[in-house]
Amino acid sequence: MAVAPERPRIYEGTRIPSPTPSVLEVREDLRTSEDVLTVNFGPNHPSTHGVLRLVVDLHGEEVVGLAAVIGYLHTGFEKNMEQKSWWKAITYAPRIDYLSFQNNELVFVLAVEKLLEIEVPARATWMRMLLAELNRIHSHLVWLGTAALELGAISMFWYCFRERDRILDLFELVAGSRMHTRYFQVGGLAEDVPAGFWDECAKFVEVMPKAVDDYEGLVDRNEIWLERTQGVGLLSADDAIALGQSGPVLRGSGVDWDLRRAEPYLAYDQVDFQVPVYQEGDVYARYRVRMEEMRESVKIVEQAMRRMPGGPWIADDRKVVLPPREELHTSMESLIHHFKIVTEGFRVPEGEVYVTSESPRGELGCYVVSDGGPKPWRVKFRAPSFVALEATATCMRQALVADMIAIVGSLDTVMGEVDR
Amino acid sequence: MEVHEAHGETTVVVDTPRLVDAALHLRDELGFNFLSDVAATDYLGWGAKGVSGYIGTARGRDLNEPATQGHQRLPRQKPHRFSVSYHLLGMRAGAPRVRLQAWVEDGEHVPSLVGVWPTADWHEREAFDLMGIRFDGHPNERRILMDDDWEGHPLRKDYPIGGEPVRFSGEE
Repeated sequence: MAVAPERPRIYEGTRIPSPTPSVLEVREDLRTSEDVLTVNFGPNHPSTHGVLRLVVDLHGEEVVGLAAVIGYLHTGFEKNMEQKSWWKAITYAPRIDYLSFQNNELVFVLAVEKLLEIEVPARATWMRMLLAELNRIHSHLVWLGTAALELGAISMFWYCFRERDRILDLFELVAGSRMHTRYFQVGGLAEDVPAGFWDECAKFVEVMPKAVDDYEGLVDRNEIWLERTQGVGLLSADDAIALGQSGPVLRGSGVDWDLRRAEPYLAYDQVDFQVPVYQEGDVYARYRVRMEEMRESVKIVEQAMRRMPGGPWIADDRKVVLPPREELHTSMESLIHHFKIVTEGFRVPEGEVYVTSESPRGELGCYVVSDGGPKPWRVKFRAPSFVALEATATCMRQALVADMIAIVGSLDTVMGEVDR
Repeated sequence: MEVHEAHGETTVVVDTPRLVDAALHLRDELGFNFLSDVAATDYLGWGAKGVSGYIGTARGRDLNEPATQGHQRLPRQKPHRFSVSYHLLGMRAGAPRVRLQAWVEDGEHVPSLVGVWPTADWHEREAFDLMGIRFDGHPNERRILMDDDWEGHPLRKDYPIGGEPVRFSGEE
């Protein structure tokens, strides 16, 4: 476990720029050269996955300077969540990272539950895990489709979105909406899983591994794909840790670290899955990690389906959880509690917690402070995309301008999450 | 230095002058090699009017004030206005975590930890931008999410929500 004792020699020493780790400055001897051209890339460029702006200094084809400029998608989620009751604040969490919405929703709900010390029924825990894994596949599919598209493999996009649509159909079946499902409630799930879900999910589990074979068939032995991804965007294990990298970027640099296994949450300690690790630290290694993670996620979904416990799907705590709908017609107390929870919101004991989960992009953390009232005092998300972008300058050392698209794409950033 | 345990999490509170020493000790001696997050919090108005403007009183239950349910109390007072929390992780079996915390008043500076963990670069810029906390020795202390010429720090409690003037279309 943890870091392998013999770390791969991707390069000697460190490549993190100094003094500012996220800014690659033009070398002394080139600074006065008239051959250095400063190019503004973005913020409105199709391959920036949102609105990322890179200020790039070029010496011929070589990138000699780079600074990332972010903030174009800043929407003040954290400020807004402070103004909403805990119950309503859940709605904001999935919108932060619009590709792994359920993972964001999950980590916020887990943080509130940790403060409340509320017991979540087993069925809700397993269903959360199942949906989080479907969401991981969904996120990786969007990454694969768009990253391949940017490198010229157009057909990949159609194949990936075919399977992505099947996952969104499953989400629609469960939660009624395709994205931003808001299906996780403090204490469990918003509703029980509809009966028709299991058949559809079983069909998907059967189809998905074959689909991953298809994707690999499309690009894995494609000369152009290999040429453009192998040996490009190098990041060593030590640099990745120093730069706070997590998720597929970290595992693509040879660090065997996955929070689902290192500090198991939900029921991840009860299912079998492998953590893929690649030693090369390049774009290709990150691609390989994500491909294998999709296969592993399918395995987890399959196990969760097979072993899904019955029973209640939400905790029986009337001070936090809405009473069942039918009771509102017969029980005065239920009606009062329903009214109080909806209008004022439930109160969460005073305290501060930091809860983490392994989102498709890496360590997704949620720091929550409560003053004991019905609204969060402070919510802070540790966004893995935000941290991943810090590594751009290190990965772009000695890169060519054409590799920039491949490298930035391989970090899999979602700008909504970067800027929050 | 103080150590608190709550909700299964350890918080180490240090004075700002010793922050860098504490960080180096945690990284090199205790093996917390990974900085997950830097989170700044503004406690302006914390507990001033009961719980979040709620009907809690310092005396606890008050029958004349409904909804207190006998459980209300003011939250524990904080030593200063702002806290800066560094969430650290040790990448080894058991995945130990610790929260390193420093407290400052408005205008006081915190030493930068970019030299200890390079990833602190953007986290500290974000804390400066949104919360107005100054980091001594940061190599590139500029706004990161808001415009360079933005006034104020939006995540502070005295920064109003909806305070941004809106220019409606059709207006001259």
